[in-house]
Amino acid sequence: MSHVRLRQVVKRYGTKVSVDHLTLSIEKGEIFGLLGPNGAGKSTTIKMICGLIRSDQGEVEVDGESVRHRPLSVKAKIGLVPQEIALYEQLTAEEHLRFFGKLYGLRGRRLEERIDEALAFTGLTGHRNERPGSFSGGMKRRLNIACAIVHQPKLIIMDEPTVGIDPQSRNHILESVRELNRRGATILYTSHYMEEVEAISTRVGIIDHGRLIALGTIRELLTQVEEQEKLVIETEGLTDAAVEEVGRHASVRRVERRDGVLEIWLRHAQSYLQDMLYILAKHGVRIASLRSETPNLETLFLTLTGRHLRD
Amino acid sequence: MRTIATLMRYELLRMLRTRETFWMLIVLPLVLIFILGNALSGYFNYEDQLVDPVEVGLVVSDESSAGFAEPLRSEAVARWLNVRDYEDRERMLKALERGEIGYGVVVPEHFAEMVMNGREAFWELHPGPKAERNLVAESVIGELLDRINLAQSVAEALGDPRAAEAAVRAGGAEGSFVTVTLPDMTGRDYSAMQYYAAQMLVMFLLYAGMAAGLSIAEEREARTLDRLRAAPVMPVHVLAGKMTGHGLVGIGQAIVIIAFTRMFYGLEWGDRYGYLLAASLFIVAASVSLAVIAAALAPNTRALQAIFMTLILGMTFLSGGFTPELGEPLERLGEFTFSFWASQSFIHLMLGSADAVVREHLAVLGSASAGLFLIAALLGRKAVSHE
Repeated sequence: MSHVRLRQVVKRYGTKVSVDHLTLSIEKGEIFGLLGPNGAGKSTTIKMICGLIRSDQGEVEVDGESVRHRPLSVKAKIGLVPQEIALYEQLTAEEHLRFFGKLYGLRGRRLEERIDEALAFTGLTGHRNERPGSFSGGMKRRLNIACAIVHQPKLIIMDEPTVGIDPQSRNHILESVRELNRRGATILYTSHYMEEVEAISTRVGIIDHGRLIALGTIRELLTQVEEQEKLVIETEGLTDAAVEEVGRHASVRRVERRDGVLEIWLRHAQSYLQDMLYILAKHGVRIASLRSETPNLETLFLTLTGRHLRD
Repeated sequence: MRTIATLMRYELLRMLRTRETFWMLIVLPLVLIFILGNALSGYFNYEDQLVDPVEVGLVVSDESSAGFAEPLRSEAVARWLNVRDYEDRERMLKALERGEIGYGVVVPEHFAEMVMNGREAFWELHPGPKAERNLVAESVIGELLDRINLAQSVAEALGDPRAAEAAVRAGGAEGSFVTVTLPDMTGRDYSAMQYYAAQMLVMFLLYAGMAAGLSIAEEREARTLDRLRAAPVMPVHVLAGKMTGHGLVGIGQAIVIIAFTRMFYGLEWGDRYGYLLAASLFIVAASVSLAVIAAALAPNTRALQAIFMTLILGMTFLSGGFTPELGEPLERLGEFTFSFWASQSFIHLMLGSADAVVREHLAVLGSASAGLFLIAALLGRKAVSHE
């Protein structure tokens, strides 16, 4: 069942089309990764789902409710982790959570319990009475997340939540995302780091110039570029006979030889690596270096747009 | 209402934890009132300049003329002159030479008789060595002599010679001898400190509004406003919470400044607290409304600050907030500013002007505030969303 549904959504800023007839459905309980370069329309899409801006055309629904017609009801179901660290310098971690908890209608014992849970979840219990000024970048990011989950929303939207933090904090945040999902929350996660999206997402949408250019599970998406999987082997004493025999192998799609470098495009490179090395050894070819190039979402984006994700 | 109360409470908490708020809204105005009130008192009455009244030696040569000199001993004149009686002219002149007195007056023999019969009469005036003190004494005594001349004319018209003396005595009790007043005032005077207290209170209440505008713009830039708007809160609630929080700070600021200046600077603000509160409320309402308007129009914090500073300083200058003598064209222009009507409301309350005059000023102030509030209501969504 769809948790979030966008139908033919358009958003323009002046003459620039930021989101262009976007149709997308995010299912309940999944981690949906929205991938795209900077300025692709990811943040605008998120803002429309959260009711921060209105679409010029099309319809956005959360849990079957229109964001346009029932904005407060929709907002109450969402927890937004903004891209920027949106915190108040004058409030402590606990005061942040109390403030936002109250805005989401929490009161009394329930509020206190939720504050404790959010602090514990983000590992900030020991810093509850400290202000963000004394926090590291990673701690600020975690408090940024705590503010969004204090009311335990069923839909959590995370807009590039790992920008500018150290690898340890990044891992902590990614693990938190998986844990929130295990507890039943649907996650919409945007990033221009394809490794992150690949690591946590059940489904991925790739957006560019406001348009959805690819959609599916990681496996489905990668099948579109699987023919680009290859082995690159630097050799000594490479012979025509060796190249010819490699080319005749059932898994090999194409072979190219440039001086002593042999490029082999093949299916399941890891599985047939031994076969390739055996053939070369049989012809007395020595291996100087070897690397396997496995296509990923970056490869897919490059194939679809001719540009890199981080251009 | 709960949401607005929550937003207001946390807005207040954040403000109270910002050290600059206290310095900017409370300490700075009190210091400025003190500095401007003392440094620029030359524009105002002598009370600000003179510590001691001038010692005046008085010789009344015959008992029948004593009544004409009596106003010099009245309570109103005591602020300026301290009269000492001498038996004769010589003793008084010696005291003047020795510096025991600063000025001498001799009421000659038959002065009363000459006045009551409509004949020309004179007082002998003996200036002392200090020009400034002579000026004060001559101003007061000259005023009294003018009154005697007027009374003489009245007596002649009535055909009753004794009416002259009675008129001079009656006038002396209540009369005001040296005053500086604004047009259409009550005739009572006010000190430089009072004037600048009114002006600075208005200026810094407007700054309280600027803080509200800055709060909106800063939250917009820090993206905390997006976070607030992503919560199930209507934009009008966000604005109401902020405006109420800053409004309360403004009212608190007015109470502290009025109470402090009354207790420690001895300033008289009048005893009509309801009107004082109403004037403060109107100014605060106008300032937070201006804040919303500026937040809607300004693209960023710096632009908002520039708009507000120009507006506040411009209005304060034109309303005479930095110097009371601007010259005719600027003073006329000043009458079209919000600050003019706001400061005049406070000054009228200080002077004890009639209720009708105060209400008239408050009505203008209230109307201007209501107008600004309406515009703020129309632009409110833009101030918060700024898409």
